[in-house]
Amino acid sequence: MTNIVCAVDIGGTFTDCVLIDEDGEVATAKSLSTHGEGAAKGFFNSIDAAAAKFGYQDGDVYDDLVRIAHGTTVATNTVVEEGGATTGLLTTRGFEDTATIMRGVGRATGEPPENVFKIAEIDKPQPIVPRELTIGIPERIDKHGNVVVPLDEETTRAAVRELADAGVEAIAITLLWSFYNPTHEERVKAIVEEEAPDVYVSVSHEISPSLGEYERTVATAINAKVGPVTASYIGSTERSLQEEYDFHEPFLMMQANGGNTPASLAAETPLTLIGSGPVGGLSGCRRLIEERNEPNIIATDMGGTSFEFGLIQDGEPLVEDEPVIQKYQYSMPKLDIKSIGAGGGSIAWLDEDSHGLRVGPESAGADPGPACYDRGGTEPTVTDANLILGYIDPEVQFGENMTPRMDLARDAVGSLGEQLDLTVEETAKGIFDIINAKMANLMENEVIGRGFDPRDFTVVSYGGAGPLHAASYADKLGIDTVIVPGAVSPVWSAYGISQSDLRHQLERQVAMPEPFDVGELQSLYDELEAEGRELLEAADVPEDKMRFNRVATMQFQGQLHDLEISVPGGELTDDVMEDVVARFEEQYEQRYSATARLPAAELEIVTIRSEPQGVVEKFERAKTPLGDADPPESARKPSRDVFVGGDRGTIEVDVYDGTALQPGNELAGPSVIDMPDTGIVVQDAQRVSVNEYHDFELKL
Amino acid sequence: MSTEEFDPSRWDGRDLPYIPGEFSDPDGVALHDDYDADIDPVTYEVVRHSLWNINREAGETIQNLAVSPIALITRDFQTGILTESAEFVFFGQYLQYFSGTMDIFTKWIMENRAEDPGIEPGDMFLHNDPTVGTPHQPDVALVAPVFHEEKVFAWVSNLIHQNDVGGTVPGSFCPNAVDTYWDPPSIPPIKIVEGGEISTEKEDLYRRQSRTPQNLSMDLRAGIAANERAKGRIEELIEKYGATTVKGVMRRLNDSGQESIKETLSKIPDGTWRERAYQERSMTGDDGVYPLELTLTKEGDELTFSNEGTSEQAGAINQPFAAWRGTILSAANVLLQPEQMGATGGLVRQLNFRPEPRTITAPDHTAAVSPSGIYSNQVSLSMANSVISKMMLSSQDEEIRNGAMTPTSAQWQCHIGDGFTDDGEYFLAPMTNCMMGSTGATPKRDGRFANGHMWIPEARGPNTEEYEQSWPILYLYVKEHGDTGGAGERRGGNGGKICYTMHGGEMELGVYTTDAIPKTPGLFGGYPGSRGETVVLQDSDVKDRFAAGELPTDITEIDGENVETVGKGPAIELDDDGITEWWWAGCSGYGDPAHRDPELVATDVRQGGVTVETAESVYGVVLTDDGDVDGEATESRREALFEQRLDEATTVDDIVAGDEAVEAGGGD
Amino acid sequence: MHVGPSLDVGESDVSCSHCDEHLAGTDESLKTQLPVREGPITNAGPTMVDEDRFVSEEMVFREFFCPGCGALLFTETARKGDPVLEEFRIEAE
Ligand SMILES: [Zn+2]
Repeated sequence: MTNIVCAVDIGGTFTDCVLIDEDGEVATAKSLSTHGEGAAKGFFNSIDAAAAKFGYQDGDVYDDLVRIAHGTTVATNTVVEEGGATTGLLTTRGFEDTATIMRGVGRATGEPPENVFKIAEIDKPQPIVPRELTIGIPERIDKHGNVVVPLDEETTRAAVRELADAGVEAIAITLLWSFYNPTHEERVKAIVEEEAPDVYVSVSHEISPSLGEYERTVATAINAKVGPVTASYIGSTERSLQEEYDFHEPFLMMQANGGNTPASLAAETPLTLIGSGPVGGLSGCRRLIEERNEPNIIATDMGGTSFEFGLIQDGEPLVEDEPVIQKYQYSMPKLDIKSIGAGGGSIAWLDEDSHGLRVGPESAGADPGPACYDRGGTEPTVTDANLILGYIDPEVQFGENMTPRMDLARDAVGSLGEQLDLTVEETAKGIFDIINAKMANLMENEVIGRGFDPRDFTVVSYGGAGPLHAASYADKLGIDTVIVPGAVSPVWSAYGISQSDLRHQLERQVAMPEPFDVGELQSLYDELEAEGRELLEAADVPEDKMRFNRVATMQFQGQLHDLEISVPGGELTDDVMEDVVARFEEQYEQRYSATARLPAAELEIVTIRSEPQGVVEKFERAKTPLGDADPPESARKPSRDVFVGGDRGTIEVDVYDGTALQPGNELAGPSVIDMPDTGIVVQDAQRVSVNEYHDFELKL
Repeated sequence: MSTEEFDPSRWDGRDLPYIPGEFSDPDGVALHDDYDADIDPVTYEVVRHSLWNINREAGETIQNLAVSPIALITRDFQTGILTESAEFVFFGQYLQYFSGTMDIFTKWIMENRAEDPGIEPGDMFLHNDPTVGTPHQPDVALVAPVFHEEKVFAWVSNLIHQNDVGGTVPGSFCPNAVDTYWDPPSIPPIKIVEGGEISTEKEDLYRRQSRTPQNLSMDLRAGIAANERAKGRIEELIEKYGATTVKGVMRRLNDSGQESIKETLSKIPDGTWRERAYQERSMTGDDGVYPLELTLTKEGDELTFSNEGTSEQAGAINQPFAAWRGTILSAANVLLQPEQMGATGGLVRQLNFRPEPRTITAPDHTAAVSPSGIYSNQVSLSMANSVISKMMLSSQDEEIRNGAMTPTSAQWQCHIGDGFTDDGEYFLAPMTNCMMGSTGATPKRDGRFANGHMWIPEARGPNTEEYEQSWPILYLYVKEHGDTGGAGERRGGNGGKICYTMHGGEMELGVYTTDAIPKTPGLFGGYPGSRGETVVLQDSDVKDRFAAGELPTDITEIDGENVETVGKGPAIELDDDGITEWWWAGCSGYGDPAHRDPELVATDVRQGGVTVETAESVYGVVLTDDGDVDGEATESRREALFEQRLDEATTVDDIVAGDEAVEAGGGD
Repeated sequence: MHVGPSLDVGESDVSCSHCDEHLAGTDESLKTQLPVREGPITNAGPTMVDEDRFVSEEMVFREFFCPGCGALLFTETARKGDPVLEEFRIEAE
């Protein structure tokens, strides 16, 4: 009997599980993701597989689990790949075009800097809700929250019926000024529930209670689009946990803000899950920073379908306040993670126009997967290329009992090569180089584009396909160190999820000018904290593990940009607020110089925020003292032919078993380290050492 | 191209606008011009991106600190980094036509301020003098030298459109201005920051003219902070990579930009392209018509722009030379070299400007220019857009042809009101919903409604809630306005329309837009973009309609006393039940509408972009009751259209006096 | 050379790319050689308005056609009686 924390991370291709017991021992497993109706199957398979490594069987591991934390891309994929549920939008009459107008900035939103001037070339995205499924209803509330035109319930009812007849699966409701006075939205919601009880409802004042009808509409519509699938997935998984496995400890979902939340809450606001997939990896890197004292990290995750990365600068992950999904912008703090379609499953293809070799963004995903998986895929992928090049052990087992088939990989890559007049190996190397360049360019834009020098950063590489490519893309950026976390590398995201606290954000718009009404502020914080306490209690967070951070966002009147100032807990007094103001002024001057502040300018509090947190129990990774530099004999595997291209073509290189390498071992390139589910390709003149956590450090 | 040498000596920024001549070492200021020609590719890329990012960071500083609503929401500001001799290095993705001004006024400062009062580290100059080089007085410029080893290494600069800098009309766009003495005061470059300290007396002088002086002080600090930020970052770059390396990157960036534009121009035949548009009503009470012309001559790898044929300066529709130059640079930058991300220096080297003095687009310093942002800048943008696109459409290179776009709207429709809220607070309300914009058509694609503007690549419109939060008004609708994009084989993007009513408080509309003459030219048979309109109903029944639970979605559904508006008309005070609808215009079309794919027309009609009537009368497309294309009826309708056109046509000699049949160029 | 959607500019003449009709010599001002329809500016689009209320001079909208097939090759807005604008003159390559 021991206490175990469990985390499961579902990606497009694989579902990963990590179990960590109180001694820091780790068991991991990777199984193929399952989609659609049976999405939860992959979840339970991965737990079973990891538990087996700890010696559990028949589900008895659930008795020892103290919590299950879960990250899923189901919400993200629903909107990105399938477009989400058919969604209708009810909005204030006269403002039906809000979502298609996109404030005029839809073309430029989310575009990299090199595209911003390309007005003739870059286009707006498809409407987030088709105009014909958008209905304006007579009602109007003003900025004071006063009703100007009462809600026309009959018209509303007819509109709901019209949408239901059109076959919508979800309805988003966004009315003007609803975050000051939600009565009309609440009433519309009730009417939807009466008229169309099976339809998923998403209401703006609940999802994104902030000023700005465009961003609020986007948040509400996206929440609606991902709602039905996400809620049903979460609901059925939670039911299975309770009914089939008798598991009643906290079941948490990873949110895009870097914190966990109880699954039942996540089902109501699945928007908070969008973009959460890669957040776990960043959380894991946060732990790495504590272990290594390394302030600047580029966290990179290359999985089956996509390449994602985030920056940790001075120990803190970068946060974006207005994330963008498919060029639509909404308000919600989210860890800033960029993504492109570049993964092991990325498909290589011939561009007829330029007769050039292209790779991605289309992916073969898990099904059918790369050609070598022998699941019906015939198109050449990055994984097929890696296999041909000798980077992947031909005898490796992917997931459970699947060995790649070299012949199928060669057929797929070969037929593409024929069209290009290249050999199979040359084509494979081309695929490898192109996908690396794509990832390097994305990172370069983001890192340098933010004013950082990539050479000040260390790359951390995880995800099934990452370490095979990390040395190449890091080298292109002039970065000299790559860390591949040892045993947990392929399941790094899941590890990070297991290490994340519960985190929420509750906000009220106040727009309160100086002098501040301390009593009013106190009662607003009290309200928010009471709300927060309920959330934490619902997640069984004990009293001594609850934290309630207070934040006020403040600006000088007229500005559109605010600064976050922390507000002390306990009783607010004029003295306390004076101190808050002083800290605002200090931060303002620090950031923008003393000259930038006009002493006569008047301050206002824009919003107040409570950040309830539930601190979870974390188990440290186990450490081993450093030993010999020479790898033990048991770590040596037969050498293998690896295609390096150029004059040398194919050469024979040393191969090591990553699981048998010991802390302190050092080895030089060219060589390959085989690991379960992944591998490290060490190029000429590069060196690798194993540290006390069994992590691999590449020096480029 | 005109072969006679252009003599800039009279163009000194005092009487005539400033046009720099051959610019070498000005007296009284030492320039740092050493550079490294051999830089490794990684360092080049890192420094290049860093410079771009420094400029972006300066822009973000302004967005974070400024309070001028126009500047903030529409991105009506700009940041730039220039070399020691005031060549552009990077120019931001904000309002593009400021590009015509920054290098010019920086050179003016070197020529006119170096000896007295001197240019020292820690100095910053402020100016808003259109004759020295701003688009109009509300666009206030700040520029600071970046020193390295006692020499000027670079310049950092920004312009921010200010809420109000004085003049006869609140908001400082003065349609009633007879001359510059009615306009807001023009301040030639003054040292507003000396040795890092703001000069209080100069700030007081500057503030004194404004209806919203606090805003000016806030934005002044935003601009100073932005320049300081950029300056500090450039100093860090120098520290890290060395001065000659950083300068070498600047050089190479401009040289490669120049090579790139030369390469593009080599794929376009030499020739001349021309546009003409008519401004109307030069100021309040006037009813004249004023032709403007723009001629682009391409000879080899150089482009020369002339305004020959443009009317003499008149009323308040004038455009400072620097703004005219800026509007042309904007179109060239966005259309010819969008991939350069605003690295404008190389392009500028290939362009020549040949203005005729004391005309609407190159007036002397006595001319009123304050409303240029609404009228004259936009017409010039549209005309520059036209001549450059026509030139691109003469290329045989597919990529260049497909990059051409039909002209952007030739007026900037807006409302600017001022008044008091219910709490008795004074407010100024510049309503720039028009920034949701519209874009032109390309040979391969239709223009798009609410797609921003080509001249502010990242402009955005407001949320209704933001404006209602700030001012005592209540919106009834904000929506697409069908049939306002110029018809064509590829049609221009539609404009929009907006309606609001008073909601507490009181407000007078000092500026509103209405015009009659189509000013946004269609290309190669495309129809022009639409016009602006302001409909005002006083003493309307809208509040009764609200009380009755109704929410009208078109102003024609509302009863009230109609106040007919004309362009640059007198101020209108909206009464408590006053309601107004105004339009922002669409862009023009490309090619013959009767050649448009009928299926596209059917889609347009389904989505409300085009009405059924226009589909039939202009596009010659007949739809079935289900909204599908009626193939046969469409074919015969189009045949009839083509026939009718030739039946109704006459010859040019019949409509124009014989020897005047053709404007300029002639048959020689 | 192909110019815009409808014109072919050769060494000595300009023709219609829809019907090959000869339109003008390259030494002539193209638009002056075309059939033209002149009408009020309200012809320029459904949201246009009579200029009477705004200005004291009459404005017109002109459409220039291919004499062979009736294709609309150019449009222009002008003050009544103003010369036709020569939109381009290209040096044959
Ligand atoms: Zn023809």
